[in-house]
Amino acid sequence: MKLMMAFMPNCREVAKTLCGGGLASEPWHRRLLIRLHLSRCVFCARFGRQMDRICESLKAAWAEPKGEDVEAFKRRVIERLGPP
Amino acid sequence: MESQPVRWSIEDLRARKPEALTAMVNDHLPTLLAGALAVGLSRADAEEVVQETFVAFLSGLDRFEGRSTLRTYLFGILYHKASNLRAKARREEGSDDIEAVVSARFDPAGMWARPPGGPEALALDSEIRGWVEKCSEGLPDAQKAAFFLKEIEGETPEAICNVLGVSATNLRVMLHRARLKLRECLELNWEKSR
Repeated sequence: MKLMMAFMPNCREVAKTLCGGGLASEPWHRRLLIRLHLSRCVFCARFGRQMDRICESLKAAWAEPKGEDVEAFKRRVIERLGPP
Repeated sequence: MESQPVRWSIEDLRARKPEALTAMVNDHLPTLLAGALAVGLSRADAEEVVQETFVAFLSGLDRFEGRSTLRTYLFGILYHKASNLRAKARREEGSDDIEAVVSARFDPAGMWARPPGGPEALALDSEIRGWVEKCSEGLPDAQKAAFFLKEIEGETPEAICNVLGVSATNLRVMLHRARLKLRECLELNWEKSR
C-alpha cells in the first residue's frame, strides 16, 4: 500500500488527465492509481463529474439540427447544386 | 417502410448525377450545419457557409484525393470559411491565461488549494446545459471546432489535426484548455446564480 501511495498522482496530475485525453489515454497501471485517487478525493471526483456534465451538455447543445426547416434547407442546397 | 440509403461515389458527383448530389447533401448537411453552429455562427451565416462549402467542394472535386473521409474533408472547407467569416467581426483574442487561473488552484504539492466549486446534483440539467452552451460561445473558434470534432463527431486526432492544420501536441493543448475554460466558466455562472 505504501508503495502504491508513493506512486499516487496528486490532484493537479489527476485534473490534468481528466481535462486531457481522459482515463482511456493512460496505461492500465496509471488508470488504476487515478481511479483509486478519485475514490478517495472528493474534489477530484467532483472535477471529473463536472467534466462529464460539460461533455454531455455540449453533446445536447450541438446535436444535429432536425425538423422541417432543415429539410427545406436541404432542398435549397440541392437545387443550388443541381444542373442549371 | 424505411427507404434504403442511396449508394453513390465521387465519380457520380463528378458526373453531377442528381441522385448522388441529393444523397451527399442528405448524408452530410446536418453534421455540417451542427458544426457551423457549434463554432459560433448564427443560423443564417451557418446556412450560408454550409451552402458555400458544398459549392466549393464540387468546384474543386479533383482536389479530393480520398486521404481523409469526405465528412472531415467537407468540415475542413467549412471550418476555413467559417473562420474567415468570423475573423471580420471578431475582436482580437487576448492571451490565454487559463493555465495560470487553474495553476492558482493548486498548492506547491499539487493538492487543491482552492477546490473546484460548482454545480452537482442540486443543479438542474437544463440549467447546466444553458450555462455550458453560453460558456462555449467564449471559446476561440479552433477550440470549439476541435471539441466538436472530438466529442460530438468522435473523429480521430489525426483527422482533427488535418482539418484544423495543427499538430497533435497543439490539439491536446487546445482540448485541454477548452475543457478548463468551460469548467471555470461553469463554476462562475453557478456561483452567480446562488
